[in-house]
Amino acid sequence: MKKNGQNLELTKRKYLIFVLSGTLLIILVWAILSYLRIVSPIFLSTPTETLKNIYNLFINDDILKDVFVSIVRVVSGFVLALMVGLPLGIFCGVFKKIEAFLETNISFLRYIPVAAFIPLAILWFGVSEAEKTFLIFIGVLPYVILYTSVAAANVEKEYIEVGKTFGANDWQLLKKIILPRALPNIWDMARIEMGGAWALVILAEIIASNSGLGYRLILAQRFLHTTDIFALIIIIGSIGFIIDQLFKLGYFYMFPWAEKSKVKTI
Amino acid sequence: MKLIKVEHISKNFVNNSMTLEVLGDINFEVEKGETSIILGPSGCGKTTLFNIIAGLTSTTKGKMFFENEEILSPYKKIGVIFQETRLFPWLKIKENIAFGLKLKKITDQDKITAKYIDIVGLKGFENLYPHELSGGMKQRVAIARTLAVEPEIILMDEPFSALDPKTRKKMHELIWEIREKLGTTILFITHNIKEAVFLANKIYILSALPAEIIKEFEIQKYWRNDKNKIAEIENQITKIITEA
Repeated sequence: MKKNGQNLELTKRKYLIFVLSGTLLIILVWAILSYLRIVSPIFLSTPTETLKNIYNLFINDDILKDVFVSIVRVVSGFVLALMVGLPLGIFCGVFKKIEAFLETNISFLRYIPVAAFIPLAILWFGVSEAEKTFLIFIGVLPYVILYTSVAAANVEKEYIEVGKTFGANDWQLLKKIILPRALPNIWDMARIEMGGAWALVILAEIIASNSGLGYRLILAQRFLHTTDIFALIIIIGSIGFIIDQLFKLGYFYMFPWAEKSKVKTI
Repeated sequence: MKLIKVEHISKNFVNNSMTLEVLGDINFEVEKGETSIILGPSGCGKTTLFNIIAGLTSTTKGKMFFENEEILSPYKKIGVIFQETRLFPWLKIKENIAFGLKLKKITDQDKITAKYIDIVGLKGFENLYPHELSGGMKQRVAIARTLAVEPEIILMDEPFSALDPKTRKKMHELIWEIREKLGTTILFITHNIKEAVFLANKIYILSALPAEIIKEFEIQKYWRNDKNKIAEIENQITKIITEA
């Protein structure tokens, strides 16, 4: 931190060095603990074993099919939550009456752990795709509404005034000013929520499923295949990381103006 | 012809049972084709008056008319340029300028946009975003955005106060140019005496709170080249403002 409280600026090269050293440190600790047998192989497999196993899972074990299944599930639940949550969130942010109408429901829903919905989901939908989609949907929806409404409510009134002086009606203000101004923040929200949704799908698959990465994980645990567990954890983490990076890239591609005008928006 | 008529406008702000009287009793008119300036010290309620005429704030008392129609909300024939440029950061320069045209679904948007980009001297910058422009250029875009919808009158609230003196001078020249070329009526609010005398046909001087118009000045166009006359008027105005 600088004296005046601004974030310390790092050059790209230095930033990368710190990123790499953070990653390497974890691998180093892992390597020491496993190669030196400080922790037994039943509980902790070595990095090389794990890498070999990842290769194995892809080549001989058709893990790609489960990757695909999990991704389809997360995307379908997530898209459904966005389809319902985005319009509701925008209306909540803009119209106080709608916000008041939904407030209790959303706050209530937000404080129920999604795991609590699993028995209900299985009861309603059986162990099925619909059940998993529902769980992701119900887990993500309150946050989508909440963050979208905050993004919409935070659109500077100065821009709205400009719209009014040009004779924009409410619908035009929404479409031409509030939505485009709030979109980068909504995108950021979607990025964070996607992480949550990815965690949810794995959880739902661990609890009740016969396909997907979570299912493979629980299978590996049942047969005490520790290296499989480690390999799967790394695959799950990597996919999450890739999705996150895609969101980040998408942000810069779609909102080239947003980063630069963050400091001074008007 | 009177384009804008302001009749006995007053405005109070009430906060925690405290009443602040910002505008006392304001009366003035804006002639078509003229540049009228509201001049007053900082914090004298100029922006409040601006917001009222723009239709963004209500009055406590009094009425305001465009031609003979009462103004109660933002009025389509009044173009507004704010102190901060308020360009939309998500739109490119040409899209910012076309904003009002799009709302009104006007045909020939590209042609009109190109015309005003040319008038404000921003050819070649059409595809940049606002954050890529300097302060003066941004204000040019804001002017073009308002001009493009061809309002009957342009309302400006200290639009050049954040600019350096050199850029401000250029912007003053631009205002003159626009007026000569398009015959635009302008109501301009400022605290800068030199700016007021340079641009005005008519100057209304506001007092401190609660603001009222304490003096009117007519400025003749041919005085522009008479440095002594200009200096004399500037001195007179300075005296009025400091004594008020």
